Amino acid sequence: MTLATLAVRNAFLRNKTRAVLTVLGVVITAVAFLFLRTILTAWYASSEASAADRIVTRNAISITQSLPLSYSARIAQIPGVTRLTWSNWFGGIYKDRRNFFAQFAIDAASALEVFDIRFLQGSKADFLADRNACIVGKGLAEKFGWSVGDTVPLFSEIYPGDWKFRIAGIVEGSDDASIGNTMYFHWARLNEGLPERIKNSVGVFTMKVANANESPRVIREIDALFANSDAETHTETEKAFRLQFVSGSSAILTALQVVSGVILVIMALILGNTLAMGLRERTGEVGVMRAIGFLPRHVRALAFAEGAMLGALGGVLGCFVARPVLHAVGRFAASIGFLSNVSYTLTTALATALVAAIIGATSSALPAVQAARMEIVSALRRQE
Amino acid sequence: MAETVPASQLARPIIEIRNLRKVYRRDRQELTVLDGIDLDVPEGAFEALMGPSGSGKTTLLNLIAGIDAPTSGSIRVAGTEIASLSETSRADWRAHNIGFIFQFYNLLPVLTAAENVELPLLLTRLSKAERRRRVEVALKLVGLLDRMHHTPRQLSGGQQQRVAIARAFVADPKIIVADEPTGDLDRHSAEEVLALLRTLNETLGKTVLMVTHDPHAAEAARVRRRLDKGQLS
Repeated sequence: MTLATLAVRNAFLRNKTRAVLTVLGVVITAVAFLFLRTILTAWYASSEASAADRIVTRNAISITQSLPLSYSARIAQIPGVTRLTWSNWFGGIYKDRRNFFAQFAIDAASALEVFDIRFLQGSKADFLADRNACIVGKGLAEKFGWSVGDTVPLFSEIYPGDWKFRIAGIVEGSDDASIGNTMYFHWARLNEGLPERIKNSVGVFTMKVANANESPRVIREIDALFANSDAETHTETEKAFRLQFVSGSSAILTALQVVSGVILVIMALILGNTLAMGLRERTGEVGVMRAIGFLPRHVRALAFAEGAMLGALGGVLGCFVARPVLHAVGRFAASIGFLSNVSYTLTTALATALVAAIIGATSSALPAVQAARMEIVSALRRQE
Repeated sequence: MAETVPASQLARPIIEIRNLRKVYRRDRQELTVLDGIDLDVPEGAFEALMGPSGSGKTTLLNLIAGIDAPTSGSIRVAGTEIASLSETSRADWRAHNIGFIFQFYNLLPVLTAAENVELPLLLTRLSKAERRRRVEVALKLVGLLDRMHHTPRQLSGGQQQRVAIARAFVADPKIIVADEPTGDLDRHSAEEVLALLRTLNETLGKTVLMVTHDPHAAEAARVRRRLDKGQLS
């Protein structure tokens, strides 16, 4: 027998109903905490997946305003720009509005050089050779049951008409999970179907620079090139470009951060209350242990260990429970095109269990110190 | 009234108390529980401390056992002036010199009988095997070796008190202090407990100091002292 044995039994065997309810409380808070942290991580994931050597140019007024295709040749001339491609947001609807997913019209040949897109099925050559072809992310193919050769009909309110694309490849991104839930087709196909007044318009240009350290200079030179023109540009790193979409939701994100912090406080209160009750109930036993020769630090260590064990067990069980929950939420979020990177990571899970254990130990601090400080005679008298 | 043993049979005092005073303060009120107590208890004695409720007998026992501090005076136990020890030193001193027996046994309900007895040994540097051996010897002496894996809830009151007695002497202390050890027991169990205390005193040579209300229990002691209104007689 060791003091650790005593701590384990005090935590879990002394009052089993209370122990189960406490652990259950921690499990629920751990699941809620993991859920919020995972959503927050997923929200920022697309910007984190951005390449350091890619920069994006858009219309200085707004992302909804286009730029002339002719800018591409001038941007390509700027020293440091090694590759250039362009794309347009298509905003099509597949059968029903609920089937939302992102579609981009891309300049296929250059886009495949700028972005790390890996073909899982089909071929790059087939895609490049057919202007009516498209490539779809693995997630979309799984969701809609698409195979190479299938035709995807789209209806667009931005670019009126019925559009049909043959799937030439199923793809995923090497460093960007969002590619797995996106559809890409030829920009030329889009452009040829447009009325003359909006032909040769581009949503954004994406460039690769030779050296990421040169990005600030390249960015300055691109924007300087089109200063005082009809369509001034705003250039930034790909990460900054993607963060715009995240920061648009900053109030929600801040609220989520606050709520996840509140959840930790609730966890601490649950554990602290349980430990305080447990220690108060066995004041007499604490008195006996102290009389026998145990020191206040032994009493404190027992209480800390109890709190840490209750917290850690709740945290670990919470991680197991959270796994299927987060997978289900992730699938649902991806299916509605809300977030494509909701995934349960081992790091977040371990951090949650560790945080739960630390909160358990720290929440036991006050009752532990109070119990250890109590005079032996008072503790023994209280038991009687 | 103290019944004394012939001086030739007395060993040197293991407990020497001089001019002991204990005052409890609550708010602005002072309550003098012990006043001017002088006491010598020889090594190997078995003494009973009697007196009405509130007479200060448990306070005196607590002071001798080093779990309470005197307001003034000197308490020398087993060669150590315990009033001057720090909290840590006093805890260490108690672990080596004092065995406690309480009225309500005070066993830890989440531990088995053997584990409860082993508790004081966790403060020693004994090996696991040696701890186990000592626990078995102690439980055998109190007649509960076959119940070593039972939890307190599975034992009767008398059995629990016998486990508590095993816990009190397993670390081989010089002095056993017992506060109303038979107060919660039936006559038969009380007899068993008193017989065990006599064994500890006579066979193992422990100095036993027992607080009791019960004159019958006090008969088990070789010396009986009476405390009334903070004065020893």
